Amino acid sequence: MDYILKKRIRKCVYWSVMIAFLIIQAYPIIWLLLAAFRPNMELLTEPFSFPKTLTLENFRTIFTTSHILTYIKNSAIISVISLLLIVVFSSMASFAIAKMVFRGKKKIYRYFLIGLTIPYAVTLIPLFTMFARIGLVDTRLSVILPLVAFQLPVSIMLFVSFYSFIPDEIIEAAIIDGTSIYGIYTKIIVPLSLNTILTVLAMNFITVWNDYTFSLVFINSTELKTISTGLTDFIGPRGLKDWGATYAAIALSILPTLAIYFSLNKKMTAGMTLGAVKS
Amino acid sequence: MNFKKIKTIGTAALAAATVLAGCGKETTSTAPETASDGMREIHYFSSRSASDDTMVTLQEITEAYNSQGGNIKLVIDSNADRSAYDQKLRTMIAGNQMPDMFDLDATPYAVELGEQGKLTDMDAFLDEIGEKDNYIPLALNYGRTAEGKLYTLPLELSTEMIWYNTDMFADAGVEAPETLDDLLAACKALEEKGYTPFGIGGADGWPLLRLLAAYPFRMSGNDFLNQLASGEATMSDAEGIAASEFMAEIGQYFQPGFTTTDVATGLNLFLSGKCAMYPTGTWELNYFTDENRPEGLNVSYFYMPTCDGAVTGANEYWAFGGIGLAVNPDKFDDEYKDYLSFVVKNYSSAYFAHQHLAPQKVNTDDASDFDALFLQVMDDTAKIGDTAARPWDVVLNEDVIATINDNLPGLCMGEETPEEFVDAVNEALESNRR
Amino acid sequence: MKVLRDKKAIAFFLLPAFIVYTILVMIPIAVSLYYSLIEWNGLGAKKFVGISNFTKLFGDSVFLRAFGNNLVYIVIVMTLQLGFGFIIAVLLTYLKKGRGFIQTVYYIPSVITVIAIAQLFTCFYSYEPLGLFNIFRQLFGLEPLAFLSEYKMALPAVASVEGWQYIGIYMIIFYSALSSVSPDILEAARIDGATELQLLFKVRIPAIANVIMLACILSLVGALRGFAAPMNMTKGGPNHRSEILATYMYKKAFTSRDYGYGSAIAVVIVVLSIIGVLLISRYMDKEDA
Repeated sequence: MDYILKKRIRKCVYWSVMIAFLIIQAYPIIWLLLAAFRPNMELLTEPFSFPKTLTLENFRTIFTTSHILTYIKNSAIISVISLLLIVVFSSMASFAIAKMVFRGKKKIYRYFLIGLTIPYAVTLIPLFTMFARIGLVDTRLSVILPLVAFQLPVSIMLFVSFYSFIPDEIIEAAIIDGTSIYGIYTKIIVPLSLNTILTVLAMNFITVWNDYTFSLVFINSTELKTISTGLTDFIGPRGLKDWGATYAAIALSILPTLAIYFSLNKKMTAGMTLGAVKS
Repeated sequence: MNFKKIKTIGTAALAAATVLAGCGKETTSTAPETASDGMREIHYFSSRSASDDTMVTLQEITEAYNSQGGNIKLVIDSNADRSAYDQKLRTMIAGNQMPDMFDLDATPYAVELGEQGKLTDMDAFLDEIGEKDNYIPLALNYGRTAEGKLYTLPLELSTEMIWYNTDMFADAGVEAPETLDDLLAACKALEEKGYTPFGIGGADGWPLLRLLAAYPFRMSGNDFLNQLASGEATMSDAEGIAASEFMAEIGQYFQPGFTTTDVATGLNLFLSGKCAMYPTGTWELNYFTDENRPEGLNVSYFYMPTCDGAVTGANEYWAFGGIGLAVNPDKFDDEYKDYLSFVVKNYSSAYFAHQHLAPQKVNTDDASDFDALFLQVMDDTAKIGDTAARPWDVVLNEDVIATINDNLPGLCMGEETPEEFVDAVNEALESNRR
Repeated sequence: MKVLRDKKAIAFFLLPAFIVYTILVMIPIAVSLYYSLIEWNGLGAKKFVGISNFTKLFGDSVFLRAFGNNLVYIVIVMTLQLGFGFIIAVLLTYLKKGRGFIQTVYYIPSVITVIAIAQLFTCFYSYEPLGLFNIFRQLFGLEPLAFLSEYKMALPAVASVEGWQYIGIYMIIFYSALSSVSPDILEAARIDGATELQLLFKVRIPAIANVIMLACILSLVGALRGFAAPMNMTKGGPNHRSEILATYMYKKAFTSRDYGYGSAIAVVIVVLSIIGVLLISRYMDKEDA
């Protein structure tokens, strides 16, 4: 009897903890998405009451007063190109690091890993001066290149740790069959690592899509602006902000990330653990 | 074979990237940029959002200019987050990428730019086209640097006032304050009645800076401020001490958490009847009109209160031309000049038509259908005195302003004493002497 | 095998990444190092001043405060991420149904831009209009608190945001490590009469010690890189109470236009970061051995 009671209490505590965490993690996001549909006035007076009216007014504002669709298009273009380059460059380099034989391999790997920890802000001024000199400022490339460079370390880390799972025997057998090194990469390594590629894509998409720093500093033209810098369009004179419109724009900007996340979340979380857990 | 395939894919990817990113653009030349449709492009990097009436007016004028045979395309790129704007502009200029046209206050930074010949002298330009006398002096002179140089053209005319809730004031038995002491007394009376006396958007630095500057402006006009900038005065002088002590006093009447209240939230505190006073400027005027104000909210306003022995008059207070328009001298050729003089000649009447005070003299006859409140403020502005108060964040060096912005909230919350505040500001002034 | 030593092929695979990374990450860092030795306001001539920017750092009370704050920041972020991440991961291992759903939801905040998160929490912490946290305080009969304005509260408040946002990542890392511990060992221990707590401390934690170590390093490096949350919520205020190294560097370089001094702070951050990397790679070497 006592045992059953104890078990029940334990179960009760367990579920209340799990649900409490669920609320802590989910409520803010739901609130954020809902705020996009609430009138500016209500957000300013009673943001945490139960929404009284829901309206599309904020979306009307952002579509009429700002070039939000252009921003989304730009973010998409930048993301696609960056992701392509990240995957190609990092999988190639990782193949060399993980499977080929040369001196200073470990040093090269370590050299790439340094980038894991460098804050973006450190490089802004030198990069700007460099880009200004070669006429890259205010082009999409000026955002793409640094994003690619800064995402290489984490991608290389993921690829290297995945490639180390591919048995050397497969490669050796292929070599004996006369396959060239490039053939090994395209015919064996790439097909085997499709899942890892998806993982790398999904993880990098989040960072690339959410980039604020590089597009703020390197992009000037309205026609090239990305969505995260476009959020400032709803600030009026002396900092007077239209909160409803801002939240609507935020909601719009996080929808693609949520969509990618929900469709690829297994891959994404797998990536997190792949890098961390080698079992 | 396979190698080739990879190579092809790789080259294709790179080529695609290059094409899509439009990397071939040459930006280092000083030749004017022409758009694909053969129009001369002028890139304007603005600190106002593109839907702001100043920007709308500029586009209207550009259209009018082109319909008269002009060939200009005004491309406005804006960042309305002011600190991001400032940071970006400085980075662009540090990387030799000054925009054709941009917003600039007459800060020490502008002085440095001007000394290096990187700004167009607007005195010379306005004299050349004979338009200087059409400007309202306080709007134009707002753009003058400490040395009296003019590098920018004003696009607005704004004044700042403090709004108050007349019902709360009546309930507390106080009237619109005439002196800064009255203001503190009113705050005290309001607080005793259970009201939050003062709502302020402290997340943006400027509202607090305006209050800090009140005593110095009353005691010595802009002299103290100018001397602070030039190193002849320190914050330990009488004006600085008075300012610091005033802030320590009035700070206790702000709404809690004011340091992260943005101005939109601050405005709303007042409009929803949660505080008795709120400082702002004419750019928010249409929130207070009879038509737009929430029902049952009775409000009025007063300008900067004065003090005993004040050297500036009650009709002298915050009034300025807003952040001004600066021009990149390397791009300022005849075509650009012709366009800009057209803008100067037509701007204010077009801007006034949007129900805003304009920086130039305009014909106000057909304003009869304008809002009564607007006409009242316009009338006040016509009676304004000769000395307009200059904002501190324009005159003092950025690092000093950063220090003041960092320390002021602590002073207002009673976490720092006026002495500590004065010392911190003095230290920043000292380390930024040129 | 000779094919695997083909120098041309090695260069072909390695160079694109190497070149992009070197030009866009490493060279700018080297340039920062050079900038840290000069005095430059973004206009006019650069003046070489040797190490005086660095000596100035040690007399700068704000820098020292930012350094100290950064340590507190790291501790708070790590505690939240590792502590909560671990607890939830352990609890999840007892779950039979709906694990995928719960994991998915827990992870969502990690994929959302930090700008949105910062905006959100500024609103949650707000005093006027009453934010969520203050509504809770009132429910418990406590006075509302202006979290982001209080000298003592601002730093914990902003650090918790970054801590909270990435709990999901650490939960997943820990969870997959924990689920790789062989169930047979656990079952055997249970039959021997071990309680669940004993199991946790005597069997599971030792079994995943490596992963815990790595998670610590990742979290440490992440916290050292922290920037967006404090910058967007408090700008380091009030009076530098929530200032950390990255925000101070940014403000010095971009607001005060003291590029040399800002770069000196950047160099300090880079040095600390490299120490972080050394820790990571040392861990990896051990793993390989």
